[in-house]
This record gives sequence, C-alpha cells and structure tokens, in this order.
Amino acid sequence: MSTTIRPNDPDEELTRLLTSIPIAQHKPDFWTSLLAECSLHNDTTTITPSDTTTITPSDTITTDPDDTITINQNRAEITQPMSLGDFQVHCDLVDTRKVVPIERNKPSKLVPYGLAAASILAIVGVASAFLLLREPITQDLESQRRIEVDERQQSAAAPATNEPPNDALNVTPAPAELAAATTCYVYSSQDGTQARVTIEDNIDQVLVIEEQLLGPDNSPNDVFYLTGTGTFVSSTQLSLTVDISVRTQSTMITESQTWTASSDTVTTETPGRLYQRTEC
Amino acid sequence: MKISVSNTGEVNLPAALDGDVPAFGRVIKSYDAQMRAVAYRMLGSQSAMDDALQDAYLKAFRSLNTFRGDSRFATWLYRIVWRTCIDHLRKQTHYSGQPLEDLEDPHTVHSFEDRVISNARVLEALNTLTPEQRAVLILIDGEGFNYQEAAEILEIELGTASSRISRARANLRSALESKADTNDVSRHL
Repeated sequence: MSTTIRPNDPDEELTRLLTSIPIAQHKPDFWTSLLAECSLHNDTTTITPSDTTTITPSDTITTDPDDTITINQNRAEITQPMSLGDFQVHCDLVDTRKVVPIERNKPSKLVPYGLAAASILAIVGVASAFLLLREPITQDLESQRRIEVDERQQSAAAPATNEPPNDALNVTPAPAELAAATTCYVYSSQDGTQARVTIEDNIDQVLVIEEQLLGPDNSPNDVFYLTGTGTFVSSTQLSLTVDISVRTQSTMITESQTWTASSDTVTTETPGRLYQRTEC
Repeated sequence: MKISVSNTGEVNLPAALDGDVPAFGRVIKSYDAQMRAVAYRMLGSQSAMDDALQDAYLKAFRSLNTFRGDSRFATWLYRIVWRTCIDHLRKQTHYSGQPLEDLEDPHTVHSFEDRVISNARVLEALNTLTPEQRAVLILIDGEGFNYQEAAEILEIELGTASSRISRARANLRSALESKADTNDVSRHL
C-alpha cells in the first residue's frame, strides 16, 4: 500500500479559521527582558582550544546539576556526563589576577555549545572560589595575631620546647579535590615580621592570597599553619574554608582543630628571606 | 509557504551569529510574528506564549553556534519554538483545557464580539488535539508549510506528518462540530 502525499495542500477552510485567530502581542517588557538575558549570557565565553579568558572575583559559577568538578594538580576539570561523551575543560590556576589559559582537553566527541558554556562558567567559579580565600585569610591573620599576643603573654614563663617546627602536626586528609589541586603555603620572613600566604600548584605557579605584616611580637621561630578544606556543597558551589594558626615556641594558637599539614613539606626554598614554608 | 526572510533578518544574521545581542534582537524580531502565531495557537494564552518565546529565543541565542546553515534560519527557529512549546505544555498538569484569558487582553487584536467568540471556539477546539496534532495543523494549515517542511521542523518522518495532519484535521472538525449547538463556528466549515 502506498501513501499519496500532496506536498502543498493546506485545508483552505481550516486555514481560514486558524489564520483568523488574532495573535497576541508581547507584553511591553518582553524584548527588554529577553535582550537583557541574552546580554547576561553573552558575558560567558565559548571555549575553543587555546582560548584564554580572564577571571575576576565577581565572576559567578553556573553548572548543570549533573556536572562534576574535580581539581587535578593545578587544573580544574569539569566533566559533564553526556551521551555524546565526556567533556573536560582544564583551567590552569596560574594566577587569577592574570589571564588564565583555558584549553579543551579530550574532546572525544562532539561537544554541545551549552556544555562548553557551562564548563567555562564552572571554571570561573572554581577560580573565583580561590579568590574568595583572600578576605577570610586576612581576617584570620588579624585575629590570630591578636590571639597570639594574648597567649604569649599568658605563657611567658613556659619553657621553650625547641622542637622542630612541624613535628606536632596532626595530619588530616584534605578533601581529595582540593588537596590534589593546590598546595597552600605560609611564608614567614627571617625577622618574623612578614608572612605571605600563598596557594601554589605543583609547578610553582603562585597565587598570592595575602601578604600580611606581622607585629614585632612574632618570633622567627613562630610557625604558621594554614588549613584549608574544600567542600562541594552542591554541583554549582564550591565552598572553601581556610583557617590560619600560629604556633610559637611555647604554645599553639589556633581556632581550628582540623589540620591538614605534613611535616616533610617544610622547605627552605629561598634562603635568606623565606626560612620556612608550611604546607596545609 | 509563508516564511518570509526579511532583509532585517538576513542583514543582521551574520552579526547575530557572532554573538551581537542587538543584531540578534533584530533578527528575532523579523521572525517574531510567525513565531507568535505558532506559540499562541499552541499554548492558547499570551502569558504562556510570552514565557515560551522568551525561553525559545534565549535557547536560540545560546545555540547560535550550532546553526550551520543547513536549513533556513526560520526553520531552525521554528524547531526551537516548537520544542519549547512542547516543554511548556508538558510542565502543565493537563495538555488541554488551557485558559483563554488572553482573548480579552488589550494586546489582542480583535474587532467584533462574535468573532472573538468564534476564535475562542477554534482555540478550544485546537486544545482538544494532542500537541503533536496541533503543531502539524498549525504549521501546515495555519502557517502554510508543506508536509516536508513541517516534518523537518517537527523532526518527524514525512509519512508521519501526512498521517498526523489527516487525524488532526478530522479531530478538529469533530471538535468544532460538537460545539455547533452553542456557536456558529461550524458554519465556516
């Protein structure tokens, strides 16, 4: 049996009925709202190999619920499970104050535009999350310094232990994603007047989080600890919490009981100025 | 076929494809009347039409880089509008029985009361069809697409479009005739 198809045979009566239906106009703000939405979307970047994009603290993160964000070494990888295949975007966490190179990795199959857009937004969010570390660290340093002064006054009579700087550290596994991503360091200067908190990746690319001048009460033997925990509170939000503690020769001053540190990571990377580096 | 690619759309399309938002707006506006016709007849209310078209146009903007020019831009846009209308219908509890509140909306262009009533009956009758039947009817009988073009927009086989339009027409006539006691729509048939 065959079907006879007449390509252009609209039912004239029905056509007349259908076309007689008046078509509603848009609400007055329709176009304004639409173009505003488009402009908002247009702030994102379509990722192509070797693209670069600038990340700023005001950037926001938007990903689909099924996206996963993992951080490997110095790179943020966003993978969205798709029937078309996995798609990963790597973001080198070089220095978020500068242009961050973005590259598409393993484009195993065709990648929809929306996926790429979601991925770049995710990257921006991850990097922004690191930027968000700045203020809490500053605040913690200030508060810890105040605590330190109080504690040292109270324990002035206590004997010095002269123990190696990091022997007493309790090591708590950090969340895998964050631990694999970066290393947090606190540099303190020889004269004990300056500490620089950094997040570094494994190839010594440094993101300076904060430089904090410390008061004369600090001793060169003071050891600064930076603890960082990262938790993906949802598929679209990465929550990072960082606490800073200071251990003097006689006492440990900290507001946090969660330590993520390793004694074998203390190095003298730049003799003469930075005498110790503590990993968190 | 009634698709008319205006100069505004053609001129601004390259810039729109490069992400130029104002150019995209001009392109979309050049097709908007056709899209409103489809969305309004599919959804039956101004608010639903606005919501669906807002979503559809935004999807189109986000997906501009997937437009390869293999089909006409209007066809590509119709397809997005159609999918979005279906999505909106699926979000509703029921496919049919949608409010026709916009028939009295000041933005609606109508002239005589009896015509308004007649149009309301047509919309009500349309709403008795499945969304798929409604869509093929609107595209072929309402917008003047041929079967092949309608099939392309709806992403169905040509034979499916043919059989579906037949059922849609029969069902619409039946729905209109069932209302003959209360209005004069049937006199148009």
